Amino acid sequence: MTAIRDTAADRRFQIFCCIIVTILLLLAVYPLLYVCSASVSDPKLVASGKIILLPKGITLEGYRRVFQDNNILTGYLNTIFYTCFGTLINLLVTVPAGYALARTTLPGKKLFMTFFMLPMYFSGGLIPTFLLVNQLGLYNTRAVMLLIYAFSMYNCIICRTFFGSLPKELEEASIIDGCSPIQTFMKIVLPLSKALLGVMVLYFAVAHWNTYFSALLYLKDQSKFPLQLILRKILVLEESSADMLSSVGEEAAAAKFQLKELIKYSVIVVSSLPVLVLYPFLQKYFAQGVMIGSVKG
Amino acid sequence: MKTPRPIPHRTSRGLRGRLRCLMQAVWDHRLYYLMLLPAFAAVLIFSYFPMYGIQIAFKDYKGSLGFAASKWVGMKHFINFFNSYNCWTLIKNTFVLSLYSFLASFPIPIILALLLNEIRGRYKNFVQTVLYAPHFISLVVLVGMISTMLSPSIGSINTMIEMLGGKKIYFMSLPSAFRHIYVWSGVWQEMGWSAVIYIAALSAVDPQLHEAAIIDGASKLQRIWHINLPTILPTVVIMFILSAGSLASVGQEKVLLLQNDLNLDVSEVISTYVYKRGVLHANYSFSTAIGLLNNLVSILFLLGANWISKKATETSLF
Amino acid sequence: MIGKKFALLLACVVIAVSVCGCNNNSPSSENGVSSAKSSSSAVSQETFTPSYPISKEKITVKGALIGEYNITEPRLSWETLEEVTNIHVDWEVIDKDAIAVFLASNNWPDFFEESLDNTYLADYGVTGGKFVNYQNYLQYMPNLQQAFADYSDAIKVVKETNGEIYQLPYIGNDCTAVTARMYYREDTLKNAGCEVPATADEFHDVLVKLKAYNNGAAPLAEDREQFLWASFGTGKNPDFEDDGTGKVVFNRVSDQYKLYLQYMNRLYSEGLLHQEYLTLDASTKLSLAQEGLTVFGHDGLAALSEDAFSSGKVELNQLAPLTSSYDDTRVVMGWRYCQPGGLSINSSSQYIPELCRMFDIMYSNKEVVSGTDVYSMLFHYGLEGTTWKWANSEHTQYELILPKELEEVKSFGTYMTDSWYYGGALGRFDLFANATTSTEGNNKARQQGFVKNLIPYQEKVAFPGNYLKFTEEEQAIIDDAYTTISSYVTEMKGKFITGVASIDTEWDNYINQINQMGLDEVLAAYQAAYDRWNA
Repeated sequence: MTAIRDTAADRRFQIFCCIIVTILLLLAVYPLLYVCSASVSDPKLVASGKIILLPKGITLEGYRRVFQDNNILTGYLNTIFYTCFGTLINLLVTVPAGYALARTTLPGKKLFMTFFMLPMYFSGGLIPTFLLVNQLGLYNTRAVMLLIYAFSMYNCIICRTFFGSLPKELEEASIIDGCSPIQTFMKIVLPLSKALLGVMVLYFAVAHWNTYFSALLYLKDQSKFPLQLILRKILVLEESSADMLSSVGEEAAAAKFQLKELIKYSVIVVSSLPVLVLYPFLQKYFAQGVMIGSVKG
Repeated sequence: MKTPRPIPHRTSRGLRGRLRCLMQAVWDHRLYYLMLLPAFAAVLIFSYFPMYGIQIAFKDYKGSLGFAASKWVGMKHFINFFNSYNCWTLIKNTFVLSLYSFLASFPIPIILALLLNEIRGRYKNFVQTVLYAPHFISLVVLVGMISTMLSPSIGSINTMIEMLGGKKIYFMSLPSAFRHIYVWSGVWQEMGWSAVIYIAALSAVDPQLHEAAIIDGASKLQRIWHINLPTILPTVVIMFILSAGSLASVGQEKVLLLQNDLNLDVSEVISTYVYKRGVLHANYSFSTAIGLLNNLVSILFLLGANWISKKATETSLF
Repeated sequence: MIGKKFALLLACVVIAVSVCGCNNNSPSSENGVSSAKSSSSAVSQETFTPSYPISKEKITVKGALIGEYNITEPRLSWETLEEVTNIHVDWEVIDKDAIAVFLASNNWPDFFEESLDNTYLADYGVTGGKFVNYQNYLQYMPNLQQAFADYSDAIKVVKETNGEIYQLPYIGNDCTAVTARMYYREDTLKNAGCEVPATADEFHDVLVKLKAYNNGAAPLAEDREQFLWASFGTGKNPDFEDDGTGKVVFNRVSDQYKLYLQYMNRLYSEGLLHQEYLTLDASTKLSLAQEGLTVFGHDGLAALSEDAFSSGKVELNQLAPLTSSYDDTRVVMGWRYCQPGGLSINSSSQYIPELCRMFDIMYSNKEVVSGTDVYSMLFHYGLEGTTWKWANSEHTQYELILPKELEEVKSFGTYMTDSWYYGGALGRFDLFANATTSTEGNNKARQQGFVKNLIPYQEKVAFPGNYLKFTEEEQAIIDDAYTTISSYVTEMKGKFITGVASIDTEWDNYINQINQMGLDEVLAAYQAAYDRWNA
């Protein structure tokens, strides 16, 4: 088919969209620039509000303090491990379940939905879960970080919605051709679900990347700590020693205080940068028209 | 696998017949059950096995006695909460805040995704990446930034107001400003991230429909309204229902950061009160009890939203 | 083909999970410490003579730190202690957010270094019996007994409602044992041509002058009620206090409080109190102090060093308590020397008497083994001659010794907490009760200020509001009613001072509200606890 050209009205609309989006972009970009600038600026200027956009009084002290900790590298490696394998396990557990729940003919569908949704609202709490992890022998193992949130009902519902909106004709066609459900799922449905998989990977990967509370509770060896926990510990360490010193009026408290503020910003940059880089790789899955030609007529 | 046998219609009436049909259907779907198995096991083990912990909402939990031996007190914590001096203020504050938050933050990511969809090329990719980045800024830093910006003495907003001839306003102290600051800072931070799911959903839009509509003379706006929106409608509805399910809970971290002595009468919500009473003094029974209450209300909202969606559109969660 | 990829993926996942699942120690195998008691726990009633080393063979105990510490670096105080006692401590760090879960998990160490929250002591101690009752081991701790005799409060702050003792007190008696701190910058005061104020009205006038001198910047950046409140009446503590007859009163509903609020409101409306004092954060306060804009106060001023002053000397002083037309005495809130310190021992530890004997060293005021210099000072200022020494023969001045290479890098306090000990306040510290530092700097300036202008005016016995022990029922009342009351008090204080609520018209309503919130019950609970304290 020949390409349809936009009308003049369409072009005006497109420009209008661009303007709105650019405004929103500037609003969203400002905190990012602020954080980046603040992380390399003189903490005194940050505290007195003199940093608006560009850094002033450039200092790398915050980053130096963060990277001074030997555990940062192990933190990165651990987090990459947890993110990759954790996301994999998440996908294997959640996506097929979403597909199965999308089957309108599945007996007991409502039962399963209720079964999966109840824990979203009712939870036993930290202590019973901790005792369970202990009993299963998972305390202080890397496995606990991968298994404890293996299933996410929220994401499963998104999968179910998506699979449910696929045209039924596709699956009927493959069943007539003699494919089992699993083959249908893998050979036909999945390739059409690139956008969904992109979103799932993003959600799961970011969740794993940001996790620190499970690690706090269930891990003891520092060699297993993920990045966020190590960064948080650095922050708390600086905070508590600054508070402790300032309460008795140590003059070094002044320097520590301001360093602590600086570190807050450096920590965000250090921990978020890798994830931000992930998105462009996933963007191609969100491209339009992935389903062209799949259903004729 | 063989083609699934059509379910026989009333070959034999009665319970045995229906049971036979059911078992036949179950067997036919056995591979689907296999796909559900890992999820089922994970949820059973990690969510249902520890669920006995909820009982401490009805007990006076003591860590040294454990769950079984702690004293049963029935509805004591619930009665205690409703008897507390300002419990209705807390409830009102919680709902006003979360409703406002919901009304502001639900439509914006959708509009954003629809607008982004109209832009083409490199710029679109760049914008998408930047827009979702504020999600990664920690709450502490975000509130710190806002406090600095809104400060009368050192903030940029007040400097601008003065330049335009107005008087400086101490925003953070105004109870009337608390809700606006809370909600719009949240929108600012989360709109890009929340838009991702809609952007992904928009990828399912069929370009052929658009081409047909252009030939019929539809304008861009009409095309968005009649083609894009209906395509992502199932996603929108599901997100609506799921968000309704969290209307009753306002997390305490951000509220505590924005709270100060002067806005306490609007900023004290259920979760901050429970935090001060329950967590600070390790009173887990109390915080579990109120959490339970919160969740029951959330479920009611969830079912309500689900019912509304079923009536209004055809999509629903259940 | 997809099937093969899938199988490979599955295999990877299974391998990954099993590799990490197979990892090392499961804690359920050992309970941290066994319950067998060693033979030396035989409780003998004869006087016990301490001898060192405490154990012939080296024993290892597990200690828990709560908070955030870097335990990979050895701490010299504990290592020196180990040389004398022959007891090695293996440390583990518990995150503050994880304490409740940790305690419930039954995998306890031998002892907890820091002080545990009262709730946990009541729960696991009084109800659960999982902490050692030091009353049963006092014969191993002659130094502690001496401390109890020297400070009558020391045993009160650690005795639970059932009479048992689950943690040891910290006794801190030096020239910084002061509460009502109000620093001021001498240089700014002099440059503005002001005299040191002696009354509340003079204070107001000095602030006006300073504000003009500083081009409109408020010279006071916080509500320093610990110091100022006492000038408006006979009370010293704005919360709970003994009215002199043994009865507990709540001063937030008193006339003295009303007068104080009116004064502060006046300061705020004239711009003498920083308009944003309620939301200023610590680093902003520090900047304001460093620039000389804040002249009176505590936050920010406390941490000033030489480079904040143009003369290169720390010109910081302490304001002496003010008098007013309502109260012409100069008495302010006092300081309690004794506080809960920490060191709770697990009752199923194998080494209870050994640990008791080790902790007793922290209460000795002279070295326990001659030549080692190991006694209570080890956990405060380190070793005499190495990190501190007397600067004069009367022992009224001491000098801090920082290693040469750290001179510009760290301060003494940082050095101590980085290399010598962890957090928490341990043992007895009153060797410096009559001494001040001779090392120039912030500490010396502040100490001189305290000695001259604050310590002479402190009340001798402060109300032990924070150290009272409540029974379960009393605690429930306090959790219930007092949480609401204190929120309301905080809210109204801000509103009264900033003028959002008018004191004249709304004061009575304020008192009524507090009464309706259950003040009587709270006072009854405090009275009962206070009576037990005094008994």
